[in-house]
Amino acid sequence: MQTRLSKIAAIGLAALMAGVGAVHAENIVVTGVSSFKLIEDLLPEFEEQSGIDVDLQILPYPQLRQNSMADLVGGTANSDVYMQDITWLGEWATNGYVRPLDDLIERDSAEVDLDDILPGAFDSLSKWDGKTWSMPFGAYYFLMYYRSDLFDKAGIAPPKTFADITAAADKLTDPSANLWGIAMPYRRGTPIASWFLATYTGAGGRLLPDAPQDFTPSLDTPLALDTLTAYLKWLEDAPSGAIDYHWNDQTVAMQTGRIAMAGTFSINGTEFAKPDVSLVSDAIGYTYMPVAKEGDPNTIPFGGWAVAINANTDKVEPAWKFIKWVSSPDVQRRLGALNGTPMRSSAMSDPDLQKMYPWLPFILDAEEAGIVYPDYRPRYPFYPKVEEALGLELNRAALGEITAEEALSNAQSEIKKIISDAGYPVKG
Amino acid sequence: MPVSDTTLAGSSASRPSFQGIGIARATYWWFLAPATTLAVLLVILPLVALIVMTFLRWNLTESPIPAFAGVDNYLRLFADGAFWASVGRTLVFTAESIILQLALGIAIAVLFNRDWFGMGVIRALFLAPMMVAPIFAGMIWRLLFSDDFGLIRYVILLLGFEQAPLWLGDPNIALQAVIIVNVWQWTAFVVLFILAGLQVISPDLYEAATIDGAGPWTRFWKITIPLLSPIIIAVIIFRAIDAMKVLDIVYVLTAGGPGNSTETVSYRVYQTGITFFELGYASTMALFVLLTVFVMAYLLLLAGRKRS
Amino acid sequence: MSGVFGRPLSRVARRGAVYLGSLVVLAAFLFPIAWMVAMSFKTRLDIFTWPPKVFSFTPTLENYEKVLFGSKSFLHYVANSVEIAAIATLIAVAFGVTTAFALAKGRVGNSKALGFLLLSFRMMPPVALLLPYYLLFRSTGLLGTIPAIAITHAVFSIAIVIWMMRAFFEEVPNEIEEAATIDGATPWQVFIRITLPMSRPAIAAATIFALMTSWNEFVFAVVLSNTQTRTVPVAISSFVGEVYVSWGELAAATTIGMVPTLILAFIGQRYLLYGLTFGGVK
Repeated sequence: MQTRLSKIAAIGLAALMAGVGAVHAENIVVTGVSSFKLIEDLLPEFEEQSGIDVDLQILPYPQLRQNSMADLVGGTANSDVYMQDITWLGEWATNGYVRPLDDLIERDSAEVDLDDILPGAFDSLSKWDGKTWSMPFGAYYFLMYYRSDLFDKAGIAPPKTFADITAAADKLTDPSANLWGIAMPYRRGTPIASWFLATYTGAGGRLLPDAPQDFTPSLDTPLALDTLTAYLKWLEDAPSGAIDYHWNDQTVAMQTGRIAMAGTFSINGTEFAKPDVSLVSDAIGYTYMPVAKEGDPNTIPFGGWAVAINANTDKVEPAWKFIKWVSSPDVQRRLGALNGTPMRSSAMSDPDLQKMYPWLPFILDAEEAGIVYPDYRPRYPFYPKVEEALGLELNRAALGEITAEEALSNAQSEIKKIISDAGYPVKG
Repeated sequence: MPVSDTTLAGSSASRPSFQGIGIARATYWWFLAPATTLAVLLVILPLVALIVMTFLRWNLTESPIPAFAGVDNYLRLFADGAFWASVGRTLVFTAESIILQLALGIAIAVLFNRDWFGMGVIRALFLAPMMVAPIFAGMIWRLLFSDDFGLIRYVILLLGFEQAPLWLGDPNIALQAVIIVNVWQWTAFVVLFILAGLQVISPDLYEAATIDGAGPWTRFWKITIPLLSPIIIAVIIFRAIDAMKVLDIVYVLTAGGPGNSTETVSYRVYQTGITFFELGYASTMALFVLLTVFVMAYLLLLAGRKRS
Repeated sequence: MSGVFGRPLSRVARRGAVYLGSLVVLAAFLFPIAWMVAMSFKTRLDIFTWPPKVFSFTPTLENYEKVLFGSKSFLHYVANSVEIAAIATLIAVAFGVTTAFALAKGRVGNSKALGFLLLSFRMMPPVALLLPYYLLFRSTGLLGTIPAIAITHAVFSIAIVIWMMRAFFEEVPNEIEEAATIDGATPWQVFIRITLPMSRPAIAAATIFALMTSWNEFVFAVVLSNTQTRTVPVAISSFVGEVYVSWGELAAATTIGMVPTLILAFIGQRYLLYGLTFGGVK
């Protein structure tokens, strides 16, 4: 039975393989996470123009991390191009896992048109130690999204401070209507750690204020405590399941009209604004993340993805051609209609895009004002351990197992140890 | 030579073997050769690599080049309180999962052990939970357990209860929720092998016992269970091994939380190895898991041998 | 008279009870699968509702269209998985059954040690094996090939096959085999003519299990495969995004992925029961 099956499978496979790859001479492998999947529909165009066959491999985040590390550390080129998370930049650059792109950018400067790329996005996603290691692909800005219809009806102004959020959440919560004031992610690990740090950064906090001279974290400051106290307070006006919310759950809660506010990345805001997946697409308001007290300066935490060339590949030219294409103004604009996170100002200024995602001009202004901050999650290789330690302590505080003060002081000392064990100076 | 009066399978040790009859041992080596080759290539090599790695400081985020670390990793392991807590939690998870799977699995196998019309379809469908890769099984259950959209909460409320538990958000319940998913997915494994085992038991035995006045309960405990014991032991060993390694469903359902209520050993190994890329320390933990499971399996086997 | 009528009646009642009990058990274990299949016919907005929509939704084939006719057809991955699972199962069952036979009946060498050695593969957290395997297959140039993936899957299930078959062989009375041996049969002949036919139920169980192990395996497949040799679980995982999960497509792909194993389980389970006749060996 098995042999017959495998024969059938082999024949089927051979037939399928014969259909692929015969036409194009060159071929490259490109590996990324699901937000890269959107380029699938545009890829045939590129393959047509360039004669390069692109094998696109989409993996979940942990598997992308694992496969890329095996490939890069092992000195092989299973994939010629990798998507690079913002937090991996330092590690990949320092170890030379990816190829510096400066010479290619200079050669093709007209085509690349660096001036059109948002400076905050370019610096934080691609520049390390004065060199350029990747090209930005998606620029994610962290904003506070809210239901403008509910706010208007209740006569509440867009929230500016922690207290505003708390008051609005309290006022809008209506369990009988299955409506809750706010929901943030509280699930252990990346969800609570990353969203808390974004909230902290939005309020003016910096986790490692004196890096790289001194890596002492700032979780023992009053602002950190204020932020966590507010963050935990919001749980009272959140759906009861929020204690286990991943940011995916937060996104769905907003899309289904169960919550009135959600602080999150603009890539998720895009999902709120799509009528085919969101019930509240026509009522999405947005503003900065809240500050501790009225008048404090605003910051927009920044994250995102870039594309980089594996240092071991000998297919630099086709890989670079692909990167130029995927970061070109035209592709960025067309992808922007789908993901709302272009990294070029030309795409962000596109009237059609701005109509779909009205916060784009707001972000452009913020980029101009220079209040975009990329290191809300420090871009150092030790960050995953920091996140694990912080995520556990914060989650325990959310569960009521420990107080906010205890969580922060535990996290402060654990993070200090993690960073100094990794060989970075911690003076405090 | 055929011993006609031993109708039951006796203990393997007391049984006469072919060797005693004088057949060349070499023939049996041919039976063993393929698996032995596989073992040497694909088990011993990685095992040696694993042991070597426990003596290295090999942190990929620092440097791709490993350094000799002596017994540092072992010292760190002994001092790692969170690790030992996760070992205890994993043992609870394993024991509870196995007891539930075994009890349900044997009962269901006895129920399904009929050559009637339609039972074949039922048996095949029952295997369906095993056909979903654990990572996706975990995702489906996460949705079922959801407090916002979950079918389970809906049914509980329909049944007239005021409140449904926060399956994955309550530190007192979350481990039980993970156990439910594990039992759901792997009870079919127990059913599959117990069903195969039941085929060897002669109906004559049951008939003889019935004539002697034994009820169904007595027949089950005096005939079915003792005769199945080699298979039951093997099933326990395999379920124990897999339960000790539980990772996918934990990763998807709870990521070790809430708090650290569902943080299992394998979750820690995974985090250390793949998220932090501390290969040396992850290997040390993995080696410990290997040894624990090894001892556990050996003890189970001894217990089984003694019983038969 | 009453005895004549009473017997069949109570037998019918017992039969009814067994059927009813079986269906209840089946329902309890299958509702998550049914929910997933229902989800595969829902739009995203219908998946996330309160109360959950059990029947009251308009089914859509959109998810299946996306999965089957997307830029890369899912059936390509199904073909990969079928091939890998077939090779892995063939190796695991063929090698496993012969080894178990030798271990149970032959008593040669240190069989316990070999049994445990093979078991130790299963005991290691997969994370610990990833790197050695990656390096091994890279250095032999097999990385990304179907045989490489199939062999790891085979090693994964071979321990179970050996141990289960051995337990089973030990349960089988030795008398027939001994009789055959006295009549001059070689171990091969005993194995082929007597032991194998008698072991059909256990082989069926082991085969079903080995197939499913390979079919579902994710951790190794994701590292050892390339874009051409990806298996079903690896392909399905692309619906798990870091921004959101494409639930409808995920459910549709998982449902499609279950069909081949369900068919095989249906074929395999026929051999699982022996009509309760063979046990009457004396």
